[in-house]
Amino acid sequence: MAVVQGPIPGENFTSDRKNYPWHRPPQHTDLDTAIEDVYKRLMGDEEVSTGILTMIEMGADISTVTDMIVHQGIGAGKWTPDFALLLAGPVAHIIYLMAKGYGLDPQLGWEPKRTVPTVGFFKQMKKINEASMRSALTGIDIDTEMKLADRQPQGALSLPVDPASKELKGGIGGMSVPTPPPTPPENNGAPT
Amino acid sequence: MTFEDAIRKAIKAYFDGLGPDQLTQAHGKRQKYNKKYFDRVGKANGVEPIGKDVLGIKTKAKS
Repeated sequence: MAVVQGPIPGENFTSDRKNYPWHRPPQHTDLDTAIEDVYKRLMGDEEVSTGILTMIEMGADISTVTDMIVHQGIGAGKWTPDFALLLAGPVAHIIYLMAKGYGLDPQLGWEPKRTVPTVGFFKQMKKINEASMRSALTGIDIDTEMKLADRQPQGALSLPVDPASKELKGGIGGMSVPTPPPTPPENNGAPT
Repeated sequence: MTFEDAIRKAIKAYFDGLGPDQLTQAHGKRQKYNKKYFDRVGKANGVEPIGKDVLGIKTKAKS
């Protein structure tokens, strides 16, 4: 038989009320004063504004940030969840203006999502950067450098292969067939 | 619908120009900080007001 895990009916009357901020009447019931409160918190505290702008810069959309702020207000007993829905629009507008003023291009939260760079993307970018750097130093074209970077041995004890010598000498794995020293031309009775 | 969806819907409605009319009537005073107010603030700071083109809302063509 399944044991009931939730509270039994009427259990709430057995505990002391007003334990949590959201059990008490909300601090704000007027929309304008609530917006002023949010505005002061967002613009007055440098840490808060920097944190929000950083989040937006990192790709968080405005609706997510707004959701976070109004949720925090519900938790702190500042407003009710219904009131939070009314507050969401103006708060989103304040954040939008902040982000625009900072020179960001914020996403509202319902546009088609941008492509998020993955770990593979950054690995490939690193490889391209390394290859282009080596290409600039060695003078070998970047495609050859990319192929060489793929074949480069990994690990602490692995010996790095010098792409320049490998490319110039040819052969497999940087090894080349030793070329014999030039022999002096034979004298076939020609006058010296 | 989750609370996050409701927030998103509320923001969308706000930027579409919908305001809490019932609340305004109940309080008996006009809301000071509405969309027009923030649009004016943005304009004063060189930020273009959010239009329907930014929101990606498609307006229905009149037949």
